[in-house]
Amino acid sequence: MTEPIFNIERVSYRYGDKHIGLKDINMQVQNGESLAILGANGSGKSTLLKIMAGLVFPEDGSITALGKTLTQDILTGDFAGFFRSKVGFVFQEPEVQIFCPTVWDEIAFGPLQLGIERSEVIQRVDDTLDMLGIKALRDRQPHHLSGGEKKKVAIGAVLSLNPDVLLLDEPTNGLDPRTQVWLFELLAGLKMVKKTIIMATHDLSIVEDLADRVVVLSEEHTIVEDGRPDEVLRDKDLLLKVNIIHEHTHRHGDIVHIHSHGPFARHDEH
Amino acid sequence: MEKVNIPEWLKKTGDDFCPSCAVGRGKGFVEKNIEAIASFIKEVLEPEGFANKNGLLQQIDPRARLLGILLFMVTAALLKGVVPIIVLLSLVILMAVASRVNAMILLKRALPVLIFTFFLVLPAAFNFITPGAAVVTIFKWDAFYLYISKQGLEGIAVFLLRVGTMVSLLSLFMLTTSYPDVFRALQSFPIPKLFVTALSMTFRYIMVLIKVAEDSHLARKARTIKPLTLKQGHGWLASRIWLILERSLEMAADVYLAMTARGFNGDVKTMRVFEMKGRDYVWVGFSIFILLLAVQM
Repeated sequence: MTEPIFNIERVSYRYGDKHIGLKDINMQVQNGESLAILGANGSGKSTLLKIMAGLVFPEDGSITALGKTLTQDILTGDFAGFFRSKVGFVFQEPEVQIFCPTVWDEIAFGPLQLGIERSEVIQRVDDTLDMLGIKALRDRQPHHLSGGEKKKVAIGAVLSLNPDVLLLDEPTNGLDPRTQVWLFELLAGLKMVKKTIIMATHDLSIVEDLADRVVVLSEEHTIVEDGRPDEVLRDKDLLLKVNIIHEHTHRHGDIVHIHSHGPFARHDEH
Repeated sequence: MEKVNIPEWLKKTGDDFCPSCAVGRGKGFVEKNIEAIASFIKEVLEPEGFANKNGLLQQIDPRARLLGILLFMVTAALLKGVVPIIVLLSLVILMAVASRVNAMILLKRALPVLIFTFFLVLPAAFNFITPGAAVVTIFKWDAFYLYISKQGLEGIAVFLLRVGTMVSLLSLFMLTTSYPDVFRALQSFPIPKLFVTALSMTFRYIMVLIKVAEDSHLARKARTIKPLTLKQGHGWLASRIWLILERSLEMAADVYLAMTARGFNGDVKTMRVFEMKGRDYVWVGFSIFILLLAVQM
């Protein structure tokens, strides 16, 4: 087996002095893998992604990415440019990620910061706009766009870096059904070209469709399961325990019954 | 599954009519001010109606447009006497008309500044600051005179005309230039890139924060039946100011991380796609010519 692209050993993280973000996380990610980090709100998914992106640093334990241990020092040196070009991060809230005056500038921002040739930047931006179907938005101000359009711009702004690893925080959050389908297809295409895709989500449908492997975080901020999607998604007790699915009251005419809620719910579960 | 126990009072539905239909007091002080600030900033930041028109200034490269406007502003600062400044102001109005910008909009933008400036320079009209020929005598006591001097009035007129011309020039630039182009043009000048980027992001995020202020006010309004007392109102206002400060700090941290994730290391690199053409050079040349005329006068 080749060296893992991420090697996380005994990582813990706290917000301030009191609030635990992550507790004793151990995991590896292989090149080309498609991994879903599943967990309820506040379980530490986003923090884990930010640690993998070298944006925040663990208090205990260590993380190795692309063969180097990630520290504040190493990510301000020569390695930073290489790392940033290889690891792209799509934030949950596109509003924080799009800050340039126009969509075109937004998508060009990353490649320009990495010192890529101007002619190649132009080519990459035009290709990205074309691929995402947002050519018509190129001169628009990003804050005038709809939620789905903003998400496309945020994704485009990361893809123009041509990263090998794509970290996505709640990628389907706030998207309408059509944009969700578009996103599935895009990620499936990126998976086909051997990009490493790591997504933090509580959307089970995206896990089933795209992930090769699922890591489940509990509300106690630890990993409670690491396995294949079909195995994890069959484990109803686990999903109920970590608050990813829930049971709800359901009505058929005059008959009211209870079953679990989510894409794997069955009506004979009562 | 946990059963939800709905309390009895929540199960009651009301079909009674409102016992009183008294009309409220309309919009309060805070609401009016939030609306006014939001509307002003939106108007200043998004004047794209004029920027997209096919007028004189809109056809000039934004860098040349900014340089020309700055030269005209220096000219306004150098000119002495009422008549030359009126000529320059007329030229600005002509430029506005040729750029399809309504002159009344320029006046609307310049007026608040002019009123503020008027009160600021008003003391200069009196003889104790600007002595000269008396126009109106306020009072006379023994050897002490208080009057408005001719020279003082002229000084105020020149100053107000100068300020009016400068504000009109700047407004004309902002109205005929889309906000992305304003910052691109600024980047062409010897101003630190980081400063221009920070300014551009401030403009960008101020809209988001105004939306937070508007929404939080509307959310309170939706739940307010009885008007708040003055003390409650102060408390609410203070809490909202804190909320916006907190949101802006959180957002600043997240935006910085998002920039870092895309390779930002403190040195902003941008792509300039402007191209100077013949008419841009003619415009800058004309601005320099007017400036030289002012120097000669």
